[in-house]
Amino acid sequence: MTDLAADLPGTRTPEFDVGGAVPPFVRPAGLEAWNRYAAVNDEFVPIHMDDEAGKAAGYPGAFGMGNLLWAWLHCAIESWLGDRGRVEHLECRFRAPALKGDEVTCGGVITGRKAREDGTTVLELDLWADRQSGDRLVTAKAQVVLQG
Amino acid sequence: MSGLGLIRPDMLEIVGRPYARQISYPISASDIRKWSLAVYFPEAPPAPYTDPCAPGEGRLVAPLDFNPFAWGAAEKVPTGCEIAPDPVYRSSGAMEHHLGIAPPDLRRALNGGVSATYTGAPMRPGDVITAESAIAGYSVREGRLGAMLLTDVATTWTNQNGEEIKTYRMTLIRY
Repeated sequence: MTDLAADLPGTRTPEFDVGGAVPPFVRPAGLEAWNRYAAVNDEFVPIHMDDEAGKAAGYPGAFGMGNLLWAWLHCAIESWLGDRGRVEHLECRFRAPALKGDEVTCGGVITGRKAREDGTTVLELDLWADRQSGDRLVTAKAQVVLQG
Repeated sequence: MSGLGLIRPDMLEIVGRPYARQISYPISASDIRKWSLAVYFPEAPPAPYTDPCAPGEGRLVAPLDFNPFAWGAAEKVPTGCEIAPDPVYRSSGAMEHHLGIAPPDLRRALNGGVSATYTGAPMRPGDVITAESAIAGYSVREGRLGAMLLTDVATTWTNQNGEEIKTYRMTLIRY
C-alpha cells in the first residue's frame, strides 16, 4: 500500500483524513439492554442477569456482555460510515465490563489512511468504549475500506 | 493450581483440530430485524433494518456481528470423538469435550477479546451459513483473580455458495 496514492473520487473529504473522529455512539448499560441482547443471542448467562452471580465472579454485580460491546463498536462505525464504506477488520480487547447504570460511549479516531494498488482507500482506526467515569472498557482497532 | 498446570498435554494435542462444524437455519428477515433492534436499543436502528420493503428489494443485509447460530443450528456435524461434558462447565464456554477430552477444571469464563476479518460477502435473508471452529492455541496469564487460561478459538463462516463471510477469533479466559 502507498500513502495517499490513487485516492478514489469522493473519499477525499476531511472527515476521512488522519485525525478525523468516529462520532460518539452512546448507549446505557443495564438489564434493559442486556436482556434484549440475551434474547437475540441466546446469552442468558447468570453473570449477565443475576447480581449474586456477578459478585461470585468478582464484580460488584451483574455485568454486561463483551459481545454487546463488540456489537456497539460495529454500530459506532456503521452509524458513521453508512454505505460509504465497510469494515474489513475489527479487533478488540475487553479490559472491564459495563455495569448497571453505566453510560457507555464508543468512539474512535482515524490513525492511518492508505491507498491500495487496486485503487481502494483503507482507513485505520483506533476505537474504544468508555464508561462515564472515563474508565476504558474496550480498546479496539479497525480497518475500513471506503467505497469509491 | 499453578499456571503451568492449566495446560495439560492432551489439550495441546487437540490444537488445530476442527470441531463444532454447524450449519445454520436459513436466515430470516425477522432474525436480522430483531438483532438490529437489540444492538441499537434504545434508539432505532438504521432504516433498512426495519423497512418492510428492504427484504424484497434486496436491501436488507445482516449486521456484521449478526449470529445466525444463536438459537441453535439446523445441523451439527459431530467430530466422532465427543464425550459428555460435565454440566458444571456449561457456562464456561468449554469446547474440549467436542474433541474427546475433559475441559480444564475452570468453571468461570470471560470473553478476553475478539477479532474478525470480513470479506465483504454479506449475510442476507435466506442465506445458510456454515461455521467451523478450531482451537488455535492455549496460553496462561496471571490476573487479579489468579492464574487464567486463555484459549484462542478461530472460526470460519461460509455461505451456501461456498463464499467466505468472515474469520472470527475469540480469546476465552477461564479461571
